[in-house]
Amino acid sequence: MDGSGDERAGPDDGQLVRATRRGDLGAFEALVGRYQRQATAVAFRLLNSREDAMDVVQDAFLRAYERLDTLSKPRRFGPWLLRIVSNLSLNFRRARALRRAEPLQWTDEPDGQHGRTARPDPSAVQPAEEASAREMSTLLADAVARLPDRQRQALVLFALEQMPQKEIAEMLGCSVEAVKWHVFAARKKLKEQFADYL
Amino acid sequence: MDEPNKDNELELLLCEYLDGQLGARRQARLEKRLAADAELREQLRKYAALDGHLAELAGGEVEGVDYERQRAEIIAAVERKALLDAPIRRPILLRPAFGALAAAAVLLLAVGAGWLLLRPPARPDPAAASVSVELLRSTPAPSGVVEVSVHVSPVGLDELVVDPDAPTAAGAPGGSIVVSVGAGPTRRPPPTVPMVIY
Repeated sequence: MDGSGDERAGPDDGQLVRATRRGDLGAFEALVGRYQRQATAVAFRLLNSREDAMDVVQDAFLRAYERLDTLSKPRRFGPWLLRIVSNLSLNFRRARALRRAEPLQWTDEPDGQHGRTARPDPSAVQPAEEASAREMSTLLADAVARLPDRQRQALVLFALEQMPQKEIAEMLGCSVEAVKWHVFAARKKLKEQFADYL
Repeated sequence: MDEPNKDNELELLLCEYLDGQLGARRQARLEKRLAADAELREQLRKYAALDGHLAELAGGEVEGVDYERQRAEIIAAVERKALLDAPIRRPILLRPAFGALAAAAVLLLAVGAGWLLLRPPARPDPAAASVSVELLRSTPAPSGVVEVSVHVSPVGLDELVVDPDAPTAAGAPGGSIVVSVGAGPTRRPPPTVPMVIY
């Protein structure tokens, strides 16, 4: 995992972490530049909201700065930061769900039944040939956002962020086999959900 | 889809195949099976199509994010945090370390003052006020002169009172002398007082 790739010249992560610990804020700014894009992408995939992702990423960097002394392997700053991003995103989702209780997505149907109207079942809305690539991406992102927490985290980090499963296991605090299984479960769910699109 | 079953195991194998995680022998076995099983090939195709859509979702950066501004906001937040956490520079009189030192000094002063006030009053040490008289020269009576050396130890010279006019000395046959010695400690060496007694 090498961050955004455009800030890699110069000192490595370990050197930047140690310089930050000595009070060099410029070193921390370099770390922010190195990982902000990837951190934002992960948060966005997990939250499906750009504004929420921005909030989470700022909070994650702030927490990383506060707890930098607890990082035992400075060169592992990237996975450590993404772990913070991932955990904060999950917490944010839960808090958001509690806050909103998704009231706007439930409407009274004319016949008195309740149903989700904001998030249509992709398999029931449009035939595959009518869905543009962009619509497909929107529907898929929405479906990913509704996966169970562990499956969503594992899928986002593995399939979208291309992180090694060993690194994901370290981030999520589980075994590589568990990661593999979560990724597979998410894939299978999406495959069945989008059967008519694939 | 929480428990492994035969179908799940087969589909997991397909995902591992797509991820390039199968060893050569398992891969060869699966490819042999795929060649003979059209339904399995269809499953593989759907998983591959799903992975393609997920890859489009990944797409690197999140659109519409001003990363320069995000970085500036993160660093500003970190700077505020660093400022709040910085140790407060107090005048030396207000620093906790100085307070402890001052308290210790006051305590020592109090103990010293108490000791001075409560200790028994100093009394002259008889041994310290020893006087020896050495005969230096004498001439025969009745109008003779006796020259003696008086050694006072350790009493100071200014505390030695020699009163040759004292009644007990005047006219005393044989040349007797009264020497009174003031008491008190002194650090000066024992004085030698040459006296001529008429």
